[in-house]
Amino acid sequence: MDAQELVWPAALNDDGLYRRIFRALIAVGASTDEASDALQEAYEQILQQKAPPDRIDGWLFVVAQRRWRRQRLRRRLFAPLAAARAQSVKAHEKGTVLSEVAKLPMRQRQVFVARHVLGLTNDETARALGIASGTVSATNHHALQVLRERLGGDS
Amino acid sequence: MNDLSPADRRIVNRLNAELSAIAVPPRQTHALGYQGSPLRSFSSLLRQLLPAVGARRLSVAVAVLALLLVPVGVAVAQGGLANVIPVFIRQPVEGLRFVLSPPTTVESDAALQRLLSFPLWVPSDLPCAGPNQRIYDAATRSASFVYQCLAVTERSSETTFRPVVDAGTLEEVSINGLPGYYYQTTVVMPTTGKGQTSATLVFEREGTLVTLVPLPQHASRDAPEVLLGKADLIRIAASMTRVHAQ
Repeated sequence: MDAQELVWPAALNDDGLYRRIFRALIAVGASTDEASDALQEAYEQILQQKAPPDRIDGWLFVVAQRRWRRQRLRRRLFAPLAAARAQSVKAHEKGTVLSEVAKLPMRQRQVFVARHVLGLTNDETARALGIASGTVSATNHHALQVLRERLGGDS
Repeated sequence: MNDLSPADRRIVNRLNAELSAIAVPPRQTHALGYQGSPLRSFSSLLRQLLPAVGARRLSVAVAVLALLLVPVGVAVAQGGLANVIPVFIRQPVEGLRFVLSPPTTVESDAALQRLLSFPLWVPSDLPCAGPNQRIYDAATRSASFVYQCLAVTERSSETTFRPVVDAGTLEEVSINGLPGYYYQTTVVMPTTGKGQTSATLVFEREGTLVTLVPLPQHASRDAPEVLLGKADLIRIAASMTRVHAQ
């Protein structure tokens, strides 16, 4: 076991990292319960990795987000009707940036949150999401443009 | 972050301030100790309830509840209270009315997209002709494309969709790394009394819930043949591209 193997799981004990990714999941549209479950599963999965990923936060965000979307689809399709209705209730208040981010298409939400909530660079976001760096730049630009228009002068 | 204009920076700062105001539940570090959120963990609720109420009081409450519910359960099982508790439908339902709103036929993909608030997707790799019809259903706010070998129905993923699934057929599949479900449904035709089984692939893409159902090819009158299998549906799903309203 080399030094890196000893050190990298310790980075996972950083509560700040946990909070940042939790909030990023909320920003892309997860409820607090869904974010807790998905993030816990992502932490379990990262512990099974032999080597640290390039950016731990980017990796956890992408994996947790995938888990969350899988859970959400499963719940929408197969949960009891009442529970499904409760799930579709929007948690964010109108007029907030969060509520406007929630209206963006999923890809724009992912890129915008990775860039501005997690603080990843264009290249790191591109590697984490598996898309081209130019696409990240264009998508982020478009998301900001839409938010500027919708939030108008009160931003 | 440094390349942001002052207006963009204000938006990002506001977003991060709103996110900071959201309480983050305490993290449970040990995977085995994690009991799940209240959403999926009933047992943890019981564990919290037990010390708060006390085991004795809780068992008395459960016993009283059981005493109240057992006679009702027995009565329902024996067919009593059939009009009071609609649990089992024992007789064919008569007098049920369906209110049908005629769906609108639309001329182009773009025109159909303009009627909808969610992004519309069309297959780009399909082994048959079409679409022969593009339909907008105002009642369900859904859109359908009918191709020669496939029916595609799309609705907002915010709506509730609960398919009837044949036991043991539900299967999770991966479409370009994203989840989807493949299952079968059997419908007994009231006229012939014969069961007709069809397969469905359902998946979500950027706010749209898409269902793909292969259509039978009536090569002969008695033996309709479904040309598209599970692998074909997954390939078609992976090939779907966005429709633009212009």
